[in-house]
Amino acid sequence: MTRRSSNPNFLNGVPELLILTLLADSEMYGYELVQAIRERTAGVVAAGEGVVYPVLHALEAEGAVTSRRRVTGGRSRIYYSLTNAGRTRMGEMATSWMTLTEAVRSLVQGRRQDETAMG
Amino acid sequence: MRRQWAELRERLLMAGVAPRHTRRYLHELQDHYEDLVREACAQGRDAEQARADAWRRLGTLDVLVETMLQRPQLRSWSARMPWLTLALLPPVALAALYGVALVILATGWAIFLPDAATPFQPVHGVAMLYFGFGRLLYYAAPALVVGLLVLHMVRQRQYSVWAIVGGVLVSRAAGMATVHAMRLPEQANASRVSLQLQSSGQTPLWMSAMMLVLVVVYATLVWRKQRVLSS
Repeated sequence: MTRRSSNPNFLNGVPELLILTLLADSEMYGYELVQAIRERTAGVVAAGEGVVYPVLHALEAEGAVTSRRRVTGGRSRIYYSLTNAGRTRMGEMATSWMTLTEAVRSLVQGRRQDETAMG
Repeated sequence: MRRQWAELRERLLMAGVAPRHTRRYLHELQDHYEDLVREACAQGRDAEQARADAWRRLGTLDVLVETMLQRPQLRSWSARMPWLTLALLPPVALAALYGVALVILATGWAIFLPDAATPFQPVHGVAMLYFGFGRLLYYAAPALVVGLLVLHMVRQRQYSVWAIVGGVLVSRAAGMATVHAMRLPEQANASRVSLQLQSSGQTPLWMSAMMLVLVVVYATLVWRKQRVLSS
């Protein structure tokens, strides 16, 4: 069995961005979302799988996603999909995230280059 | 598992998470758990190991509760503003119900007893039903409001002392309320129906009983919370 480690940063705005990005493609229910996050991040982002639901509920309360109950395979599931407000928010969060990661990457890379130059 | 779900529900409600979010969260977690068990079984694990793996992947009870509590928008209004929903809203609800009862009295007087000096006299047929409904609403309003308050406390596991304040306000208002109806001498067929708060100096027995129920529910909720926290 694959050993999974918990990523504490998962709870700092990243789950919202991941969820909104995945829901931009198609509507999904919680288990599907968690599987998609695991597959699309090659298992790098992992956390207690149940934590996805409070994020979804909060996003719905803020109007970024909407939900509907659907019966599939004899089971009633709650599917989530992105709203227009959610799409706008996803764009803003993605831009902000890219800027941040680029800044961090630049800083870390610069330090590495300095260390290499010093010997 | 059933014990764990029950514990999770109690902890969420006692922490102030809105019942609708609690209910849905549990429903989704249980579905997710079943999917994880199926996935593990499909990978060749035995049922017991599959259940243990599924629970571990879902997260510990502490994590599941904590992540829900990190979202203030998922908390109930009673948890966010208990003084408003438990103390102020009940007297407002009582006033609204009294208002409806007064409207029934005033309209009944105008429709069924246009020439009578007072609406407080024997009536028959439809008038009896109409006035009877208004009277029932008036007398049942305090019990209805306190009953809803108790139901709300139990449903949301709210043990706030503000509920006792709300109950006291409703009981006092109900004990002091008096309905007055009079013809206005200066205008033909004009009348005025009003409700005044007058202290009679004594508390009716039914109101004391209502307060007792409220205090018992409050004490029970506090005791239950202590029991859940200690376990």
